[in-house]
Amino acid sequence: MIKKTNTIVALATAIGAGSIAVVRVSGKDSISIVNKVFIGKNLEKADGNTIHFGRLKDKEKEIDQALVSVFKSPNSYTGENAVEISCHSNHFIVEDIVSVLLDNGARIADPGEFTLRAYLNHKIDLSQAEAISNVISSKSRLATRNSIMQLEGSLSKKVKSIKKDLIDLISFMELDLDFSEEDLEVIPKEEVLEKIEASKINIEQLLNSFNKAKYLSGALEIAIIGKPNAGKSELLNSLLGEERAIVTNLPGTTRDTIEENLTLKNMLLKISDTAGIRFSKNHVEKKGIQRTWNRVERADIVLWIIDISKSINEQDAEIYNTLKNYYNKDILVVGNKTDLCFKNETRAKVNSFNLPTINISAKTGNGLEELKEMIAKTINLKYEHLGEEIIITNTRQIESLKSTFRSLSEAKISLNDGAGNEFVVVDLRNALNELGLITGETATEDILNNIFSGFCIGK
Amino acid sequence: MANRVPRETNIMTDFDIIVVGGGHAGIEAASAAARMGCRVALITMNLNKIGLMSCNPAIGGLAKGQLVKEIDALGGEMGKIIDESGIHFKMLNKSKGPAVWSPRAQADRQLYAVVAKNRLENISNLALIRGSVNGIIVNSKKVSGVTLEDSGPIYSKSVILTTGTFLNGLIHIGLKSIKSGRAGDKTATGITESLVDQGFKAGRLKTGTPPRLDKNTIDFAVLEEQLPDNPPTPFSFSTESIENKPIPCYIGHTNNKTHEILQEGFQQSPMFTGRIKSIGPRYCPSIEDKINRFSDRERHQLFLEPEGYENREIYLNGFSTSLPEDIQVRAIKTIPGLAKAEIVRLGYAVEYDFFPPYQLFYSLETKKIIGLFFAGQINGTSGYEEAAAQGLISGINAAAKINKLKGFRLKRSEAYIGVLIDDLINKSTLEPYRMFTSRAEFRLFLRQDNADIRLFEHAKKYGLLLKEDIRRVNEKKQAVNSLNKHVKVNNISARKFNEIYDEISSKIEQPQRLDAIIKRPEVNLAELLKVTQNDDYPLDAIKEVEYNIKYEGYLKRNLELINKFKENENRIISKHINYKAINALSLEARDKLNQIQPESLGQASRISGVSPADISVLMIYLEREKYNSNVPRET
Repeated sequence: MIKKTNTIVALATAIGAGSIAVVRVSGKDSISIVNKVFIGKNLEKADGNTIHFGRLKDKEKEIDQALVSVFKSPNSYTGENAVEISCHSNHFIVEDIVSVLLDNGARIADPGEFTLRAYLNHKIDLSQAEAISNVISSKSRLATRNSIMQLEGSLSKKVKSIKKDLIDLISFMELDLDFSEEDLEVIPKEEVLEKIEASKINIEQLLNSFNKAKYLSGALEIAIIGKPNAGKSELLNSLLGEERAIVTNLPGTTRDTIEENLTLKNMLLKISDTAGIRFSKNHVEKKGIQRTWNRVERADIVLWIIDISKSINEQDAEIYNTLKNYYNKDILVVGNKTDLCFKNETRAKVNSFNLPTINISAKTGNGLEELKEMIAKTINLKYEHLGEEIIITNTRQIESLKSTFRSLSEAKISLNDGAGNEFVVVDLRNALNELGLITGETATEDILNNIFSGFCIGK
Repeated sequence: MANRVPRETNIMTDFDIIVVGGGHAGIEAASAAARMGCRVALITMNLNKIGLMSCNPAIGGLAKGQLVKEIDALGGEMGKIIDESGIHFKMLNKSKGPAVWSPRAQADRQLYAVVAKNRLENISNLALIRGSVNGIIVNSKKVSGVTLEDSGPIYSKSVILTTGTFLNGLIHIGLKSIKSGRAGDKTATGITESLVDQGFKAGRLKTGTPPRLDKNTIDFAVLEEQLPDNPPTPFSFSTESIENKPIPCYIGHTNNKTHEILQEGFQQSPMFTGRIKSIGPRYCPSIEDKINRFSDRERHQLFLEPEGYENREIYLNGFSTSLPEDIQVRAIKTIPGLAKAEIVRLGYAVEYDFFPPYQLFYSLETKKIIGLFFAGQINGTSGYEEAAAQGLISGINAAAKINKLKGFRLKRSEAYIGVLIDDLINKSTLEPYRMFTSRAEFRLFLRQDNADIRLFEHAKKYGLLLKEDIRRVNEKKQAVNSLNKHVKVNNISARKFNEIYDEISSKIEQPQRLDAIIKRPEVNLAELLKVTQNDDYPLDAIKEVEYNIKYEGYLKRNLELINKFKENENRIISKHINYKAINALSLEARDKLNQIQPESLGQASRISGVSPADISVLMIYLEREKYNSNVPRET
């Protein structure tokens, strides 16, 4: 979609670090854009380098109290007009503030764009700028890492499938424009409308899922592992808050891995339940166990569940050694089934593994909150330095999805107005380009390739 | 032009520009350069085969028709030649919006070649020379002429190669292969080799053509007749009306029996047996490829197109093949109407050399050798129109260089020709490239009927138009401006409107401004002007104004994209950069950027393999360079 203005916005502080978050806005219109959502002093009349207390609103709804610092060009970090909004460091509040600024004409900053602008406006020197190049390139490597993970993830799968639907649809419509002399069937308008509507619904679902889990982009994975019947599926279910994996007390029920999206402390994580680890001759089960280790390989955090109502045996030691020797992962030891232990007198001495440990009952929910805290803390420690990057990537994806949605709506209106394919396709291609920003691909050749491979073309 | 006398040709004369090849690219290259005042020689193997249509006897078609109109708007020949030699004109996509209308016409093949040659002969500073070029003369990375097979060298400041399918051309019919650039003609050897010696990368492509049938052996009564438009719409903006008598085409179909016979020949197919390894165009597949890939189709549509009034040959469009002779003969007889059909010329496939076009600048001058230009199939394209467009651009640029003018480049947002050349240079296509309207992201603006207005300023600047062309376009522009004002201040009364649009459009109560009421799809501006007694506006001006108002909303959305596009196009990269040294770029981007050396950030972003992150890095690099120094461009 078109850049609305050249005023950019992004969260300047890391997620979860400290109690105050700073949202930075820079560009010619930054002061007037913030002023539109600020209840308090008229910021457009404020001097540079001044701080103002007030409230931020989204239409009539109040978002948060905030301290707003106004900077006037050239006396700001970027050298442009700029505003810094200090608010409470809560993911939902920050997200709301960023999105209300987007709605009022700002756009999300590209990675490193504040620094880039500072450089372009001669606020920093060349050696610093050289460093930015490297930051951007390493950030893009990080983004690549993220997108590789997402490639296998459900978000990317979904976006790709929507993209494919759109490419198919556009191909049909282009076919009618570029190959109308051929002996081919034309796609009826009703079918086009249906397909657009289906894609709109798909995107809406994605947007909703994003609204629920605002920050982390689903790139982080947690694997739950342990011996059979340690309660892995039960833990997954209680974390998800719904019956998902099949739970029985028959060991080895989960023969395959089960993967779910988990919203935890405002982070969207991928969590997988795996087949229990034991040394088995059963072919199916062996295969399942190999998949478990594959999961561990991919995971960012491993939740190792131990049934603390029973003693530790050789198999536990075996698991410990394998994790220690072959996998370099953050491991949390979860002692399960406190409900079966009398007065917390656990049989298994889980502390002996010298790993972060917590005891819970997946069945009663006892200790579950603490476990969640612990996971969040681990992630924050591990990914603190990525804070800005992850929120930006994420918000940009939301923006792309919103633009896609808008373009599809426009396509629908055009169709209903009786516009020809050449007009409708403009909107559909805009939608496709926006989706391409998420998956990082372009599409013109895709459409022609699709036409050539799918239809008998050529006189 | 008629009062100009052909120049005496003398082999030893120095020329400004030598054009090698007399096909559709060569014609435009030679005539544009000559019109711009250069002394031009066009060298071809056979002077009677200038402008010969080696394949389909037709000009235009979807997206290609737009190219022809643009060539015409830039003073080119193609539109004028087809208007004089066409025998069946049709505006395609007429049921759709004006942006995707495309003119197409069948030509009298012999007449087309005669008209083409006559037109060239009437250009005063253009010499037509018969000869076979077998080498390019290069001195210290600068071209200085060509060598001929039977005589000495000819010297020039620039050379434009438009060699078509002739570079090491190899024809295949079944498992037989013949060294030839076109059935009945020689092949051209030596040119590829001399360029590869200079460090050029060459590749090989394939194309094919269907058999020609004897008109007198066909039972047209059982075929479906296809009539041309009446009256025909000319291609050239300067043509008042088409004089030739129209003749029909015919539609037929293959059937299962045809497919069975063709399948018998698969084991002798040069394609399926792997004798031909080069890639052919997917949009123009052979009949064997169609039945092989789409085996569930019970029939394929064929067009029987006459090659002229006197010519007894019928072009069997849709039946391109390289299967053996006996298979072709037997298969054709199974087609209703063709039971007794005799083949006059067999279908065949032809392989030829091309030079991947990333080796060119936008001017179509090679990056390796100064003054050497490539146009047409040598750049991996397919189609007369694509070739002619490149010929024109290379001719203009070669002449501009000699006349010390700035290079001529059309943007993607201005013309299909801009899309064509931008795609060629930046996307490494692996198959013969053909234009489609879907390749032009701004096609809503690139209509066939507004090419004259769109390209007028360019054409004027390079001196490509005749006085009467300039007067005509100026008049059209004035009419458009005045009508644009007219519709904004004039109303139609409710009574008059309701009278003409009774039952067709919902009634109005109050007078309505013209520019408001014509937004209704069913309302027609020409009609409104007639009833309001303002019918002195020419129809093409009315259409232009009506389109821009009717589709304003959609055009706006596309216009936003154009503006964004221009932003990056205007970020010029004005010097040679060693991209390999920019470590922050991805490896693929480093290679591609180094190879292509883009002229703007916009161009860089269209190169396949260059990601948005690479563009950010590049932007920073460029800003730093700008800040640091004023080093002049090295190229």
